[in-house]
Amino acid sequence: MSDEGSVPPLVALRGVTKRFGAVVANRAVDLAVRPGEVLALVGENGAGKSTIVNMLSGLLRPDEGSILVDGRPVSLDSPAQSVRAGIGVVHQHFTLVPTLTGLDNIALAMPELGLGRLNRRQIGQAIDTAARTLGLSVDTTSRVEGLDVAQQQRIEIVKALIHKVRLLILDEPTAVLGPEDKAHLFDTIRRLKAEGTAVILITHKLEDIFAVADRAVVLRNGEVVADAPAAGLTPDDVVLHMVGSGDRDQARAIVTGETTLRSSSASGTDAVCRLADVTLRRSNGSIAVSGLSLDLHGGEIVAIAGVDGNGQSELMRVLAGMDVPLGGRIECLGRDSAGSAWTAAHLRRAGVAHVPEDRRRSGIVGEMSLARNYLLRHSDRRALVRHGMVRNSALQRLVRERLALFDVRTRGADERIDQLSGGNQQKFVLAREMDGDPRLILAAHPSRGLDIKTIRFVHGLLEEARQAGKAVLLVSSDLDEILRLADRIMVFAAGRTFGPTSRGDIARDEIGAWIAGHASGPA
Amino acid sequence: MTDRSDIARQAVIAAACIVALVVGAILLAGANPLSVAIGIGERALFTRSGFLEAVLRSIPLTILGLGIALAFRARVFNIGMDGQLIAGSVVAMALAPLVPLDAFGLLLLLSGGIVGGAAWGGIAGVIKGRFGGNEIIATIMLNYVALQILSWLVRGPMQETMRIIPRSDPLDAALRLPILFEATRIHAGLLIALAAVVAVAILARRSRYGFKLAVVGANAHAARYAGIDPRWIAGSVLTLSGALAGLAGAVEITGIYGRLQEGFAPGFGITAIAVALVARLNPLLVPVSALGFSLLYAGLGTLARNGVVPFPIINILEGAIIFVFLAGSVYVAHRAKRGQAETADG
Repeated sequence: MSDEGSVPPLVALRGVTKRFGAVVANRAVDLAVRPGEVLALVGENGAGKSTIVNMLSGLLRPDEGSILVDGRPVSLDSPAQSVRAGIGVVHQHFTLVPTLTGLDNIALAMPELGLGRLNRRQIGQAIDTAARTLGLSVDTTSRVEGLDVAQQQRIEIVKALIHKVRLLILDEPTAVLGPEDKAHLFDTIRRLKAEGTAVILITHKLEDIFAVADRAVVLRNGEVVADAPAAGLTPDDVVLHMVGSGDRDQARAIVTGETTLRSSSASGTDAVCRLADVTLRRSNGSIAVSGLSLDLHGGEIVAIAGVDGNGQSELMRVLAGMDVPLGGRIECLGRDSAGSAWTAAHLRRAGVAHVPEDRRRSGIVGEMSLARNYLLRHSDRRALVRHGMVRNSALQRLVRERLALFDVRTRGADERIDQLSGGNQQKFVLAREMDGDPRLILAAHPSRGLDIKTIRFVHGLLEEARQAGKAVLLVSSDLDEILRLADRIMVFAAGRTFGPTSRGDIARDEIGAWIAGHASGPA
Repeated sequence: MTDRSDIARQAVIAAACIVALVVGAILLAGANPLSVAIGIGERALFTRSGFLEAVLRSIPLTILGLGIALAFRARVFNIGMDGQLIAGSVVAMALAPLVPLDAFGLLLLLSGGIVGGAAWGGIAGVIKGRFGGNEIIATIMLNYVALQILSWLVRGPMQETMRIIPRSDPLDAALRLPILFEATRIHAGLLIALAAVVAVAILARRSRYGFKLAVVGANAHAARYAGIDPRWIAGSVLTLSGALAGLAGAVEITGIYGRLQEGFAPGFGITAIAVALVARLNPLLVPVSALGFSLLYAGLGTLARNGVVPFPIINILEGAIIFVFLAGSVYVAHRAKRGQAETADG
C-alpha cells in the first residue's frame, strides 16, 4: 500500500482470491482507490485484470477476502448492487444494443424504466447535463450501429455516469481510440477526478499510465507485483514488473520494440491487389471514402492510419469479399470486384487471409473448439476434409502443432475457444490465417487489446510475412505500431485519403496532422 | 448468472402451472387424474398392442424429427414438415402406376417421396435463401397449400375408381413395405428410419456440411467471413429437411395406409419439433425421443377410446406433456450451463 493514510479508500479489495477450477485468476489481491484518484491497473493478458473488474461490477464473487466500500465490507452479488454501491463500469466490449439509439441505450440503464415510463425528453436532459459536465459531445439520436467506436464509447461512459457513480472503471478504453479521441477521453478522466470521482483505468498502453494516472498497480499471474505512484515509475519499470523478467535490457527491448527484420524494398513486383478510384459506402448508406487508388505489392506492409470510422472497416470488408465497392474497381489475385466471383469464399480461395477487427463477432465461433475454429478457414483443404467428411485425427494433430508453434496457452485442441484469454484467441486467429500460404494478409487492429509481449509476437509475424513476399494491409489506430511496421502509409480522415507515401518520407507529426484532417497531404 | 437461474426457475413454475391446469381439467371432466396417469402408463408400457402401436408411430416421428434437428442446427426453423410430408406422399403415389411392381419399384416410390418433399421444402428454401424471406412463415403457409392440394387430388385426379370416398386406389401389394414381424404392423420403415438416424448423425457430426450448419447456427457473422454463405446453407438445409419429411410421407403410405387419403399424419410435423427439441437436436437421441412421444400417444388414444375422459382432454394432455418436457429440458440445459460457467469465464 502507498502512503497518505489520511484519506480513507473509497473502494478496497482485501486479500481477494478468485479461482476458476484449478486456475487461480487472482491471488490475495490488495487494492485500494481513493476519491479523486486515477488508478492504472496494468498487466499482461490473463494477469487477472478482467476478473477484478468483474468482481467489482458484481458479475463474480470472490472466493476469499472481501470488498470494502467506505471501509465497510459489502457483498456485490449482482450488477445492480454494484451500481447501488456507486461503481460504474465501461466494459472493454461494449454492451450497447446496436439497433437502438444512444438515448434508448442509456435509458435501458435507468431505474425509472422499471416503472414502465419512458420520458425521452427528461432522459435527454439528464444525458445533456451529464455529458456537459464531462465536456463530452454525444450523439444520442442515431442508431448505435451507425456510430464509430469513439462515439459508442462516449455513450457507454455517459450510461455509466447517469447513476451516482463514485468509482468509474474503464476497461481498456484507449484500445479503440485514435490520438485525438484519446486526448478527449483523458480530459474527461481529469474532470471526473476534479469532481472527486475515483477512476480505475485498465490499460495495456504504458503511455496511458503516465498521461493520466496517479498510481499504477501491476498484476502478474493474478498477484499484485507493484503498487506505486506513477510519477516515480519509468516505462522500463512497469514492463519489468509485467513480464517478471529480471533483465532490464530485455525489458527495454520490449518497450522500444527493436526488431531484427527491416523492410525490404518491394517496388517493381507486380501488384497483388489494385484499387482504382474506389468509393466505399458505410452500412448506413453514407460515403466513407471516395477516390481511393492504391496498389498492394508482395513483400511490403501498407498501413492505413487514422481515427476509426473513417472507412477503414469498409475497406477491409470489401477486400475480404463481404461487400462490393460502390464505385471504382478492385482487382485482387485475379478476381474482379465487378465480377460475380467477388465473394468471401472466392477471395479466400485465391489467397486472402483476414484478421478481422472484431474477433469475437467475425473471427471465431466462441462455443466451438479450437480445432473446429481452425477448420472454419481450412475446410477446403484435402488433408483435413476428404469426400466431404472431416478427418478429425488429422485436424487434431495439425491444430496441436500450430498451438505449440504459436505458443497459444490452452488445455488442448478440444477446448472451447471462448475459454481462452483475448490474447490467446488472437494468437490462434493469426496462426490460422497465416496457414495455407496466403498472398494477401488483411490485418485489422491485430494487436488491439493485447499485452506488450503478444504485440511483439504479432508484429514479428507480420514482418515475417513481408519477408516471405506476402502483401500485408494493416489497419491500425496506433501510430506507433504503424511507424514501426509500415513500408508505406496512408491516412483516412473525414472522407479524404492522404498518401500513400513511403515511411521514410514522412514525419510523425505530419501524419498526425493528416489524421486530424487538416493540412494538405499529397493525396 | 442470475438471469440463467431465473430462466430455469421460470421454466419450472410454468410447467407446474400447466400441470395444475391439466389436473384441474381432468377433475372437472369427472375422472381421477391419478387413474388417468396410471392408465396411460399401463396401456403404453404394459400391453403388447400399445407398445407395437407406439413403435409404429415412432417411425415417421423419427424421420421427421431428424429433419427438424438438422435444420435447427443452423437455426433454421422448418415448421412445414406436414406440407413436405404430403408433397412426398403425393409424388410417391403419383409414381405408383408408372413403376415396375417389384422391390425396385418400391425404391422408386420412396425416392419419389424424397424428391417431392425436397421440392416442397426447396420452395421455402428459395424464399429464404434467395429472397431473404422468413422461413417460419413460408413453411407454415406452404403447409396449407399442400393440405388443400391433397384435398383436391383425392377428390379429383387421384380419387379411387369407385369415386365414393375421397381417397386414392390402393397400392399394389408388391409396392408395400414388407412387414418385419409376423402378426404385427411393424414394417420395414423401421429399418429405413434407423438408417436415416445413422446417415443424419454422420452428416451432422462428421461431415463438412454438418460443420457448416453448426457454424451458421452459432455465429452467422463469422460464417460469412469464412466464406460460408448462410443463405445458401439455409436454403439447402430446408431442402434436405423437406427430403426427410417426404421420405416419412412415402414410408407412411407404403408401410401403413397403402393409399393416399386426407389426414393420414395429423400434426406429425409439429410433434416432430417437440421430438427434436427433447432430443436436444442430437440425431442419435431422436429415435428415443420419438418412441417416448409415441408411447404417450398410444396411452392417450386408448383412454379416449375407452371413454375415460372426453376427447378434447386428450388434446389438452398432449399439449401439456410436450410443454412440460420442453420446460424440463430448458431447466436441465440451464443448470448444466450454470455448472459450466462456474468453472470458466474469466
